[in-house]
Amino acid sequence: MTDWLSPEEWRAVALSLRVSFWAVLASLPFGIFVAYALARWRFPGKQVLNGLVHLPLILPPVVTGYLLLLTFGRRGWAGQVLDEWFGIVFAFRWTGAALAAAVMAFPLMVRAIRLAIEAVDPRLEEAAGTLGAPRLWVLATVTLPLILPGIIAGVILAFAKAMGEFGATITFVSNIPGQTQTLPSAIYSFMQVPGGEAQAARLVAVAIAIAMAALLLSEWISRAVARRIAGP
Amino acid sequence: MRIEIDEISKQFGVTAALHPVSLAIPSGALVALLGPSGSGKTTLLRILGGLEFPTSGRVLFDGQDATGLTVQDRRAGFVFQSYALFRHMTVFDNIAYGLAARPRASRPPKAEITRRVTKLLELIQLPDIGSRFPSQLSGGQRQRVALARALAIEPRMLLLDEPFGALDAKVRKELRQGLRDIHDETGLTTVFVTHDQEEAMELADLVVVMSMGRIEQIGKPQDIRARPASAFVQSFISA
Repeated sequence: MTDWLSPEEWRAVALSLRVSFWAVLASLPFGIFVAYALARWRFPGKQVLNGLVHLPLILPPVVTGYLLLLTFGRRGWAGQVLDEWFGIVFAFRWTGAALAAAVMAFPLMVRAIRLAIEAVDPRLEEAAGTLGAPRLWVLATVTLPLILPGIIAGVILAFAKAMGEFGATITFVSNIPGQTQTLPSAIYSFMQVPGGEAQAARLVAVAIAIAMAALLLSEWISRAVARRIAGP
Repeated sequence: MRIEIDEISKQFGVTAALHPVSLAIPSGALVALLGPSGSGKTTLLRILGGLEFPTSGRVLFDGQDATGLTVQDRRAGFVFQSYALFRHMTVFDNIAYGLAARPRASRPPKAEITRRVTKLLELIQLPDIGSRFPSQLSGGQRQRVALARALAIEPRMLLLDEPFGALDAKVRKELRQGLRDIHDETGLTTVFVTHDQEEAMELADLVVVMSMGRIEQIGKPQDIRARPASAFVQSFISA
């Protein structure tokens, strides 16, 4: 099983999966919260928040990576605070790759969830309130079940984006084999060395396989969920 | 429960949805808020239910100030125009929702919830639909399920927003009688919003005619018919 990929190649694949998994998992609660705020609340600075969330989609990824380096790098203000208070370091670690992937994937996640929330009739939440249900209970029993297909769509999109993230990651945490060398960075590295085409091609095949699997899985899950929500 | 509305006004931005209005609803009454769209009748109903809060004025329940009471603490059974049933839950779970949402200490045990839901399904004369989903019901059945869901929390009052709005004429007539029966059986103070003067006159003990955020007239149906207080009321009830 393992002999058709070198240990170095396996490390890149495994790292990419780990980075994407944690990027999506850690940003999901924020994604739901921001999507809910943008869909349902009116507050000053809403357009600013909306713009900030979407910025990574529009900016060149290198710019996003550079801004991350300035903020969360060893000498960045947030990087220093997190290091001193919580011992969390992002610079040139796989956690930094996860942060970059999360930031880059965030707009796609928020967008999918927000559209799902906007499709839920607010009167359903009001009705639950009149029946005495506290807001968190309403969220858990009415809103979340109804927007589950949107959450799944957002998670899959974000995961795919995180798997493919290159520009911001390589700018922020560089391309260190075994530490920050994700699948795309590994493909890029192999292409730079003479005779690396075969290795690059194998990783390309892996990337295609993972993408297809994710797509099929999302299709299958959203059908199952849609069936459950609509009732028999 | 006695409801008093004391000089309530409501602004949405720069537009006034309600100019200060006052209204006393005796305990156990069946009241219609009647008016064209934009008259403020739904806003007033939503303020009673705690879904909207007035810009000024007070709401009193049995003489106690309830103006700031949250929607959860009002214990007002609210039936929405589109019924707002939870489409991902069965009819049974819809009706049980308010009981199951209570904190553990005051939540009735499962058997008690089942007993109450079964009784409510009998009250709305649909004893066998507990396991169905809202999408499998007719409009009239949905409306009755919404009513049962509102009654399940043992509300202090019943508030209905255009409860018969989306139904055809024959079903409307049936459900009017159904609401009248449920009102007489439970004795709940009931307020419903309608733009249909015939419906208001036929069903309500007390009709409140509204226009442009003001109350034009309050009275028994026959009194309003006999002595309309303004040209607006005159033209609206003869329309």
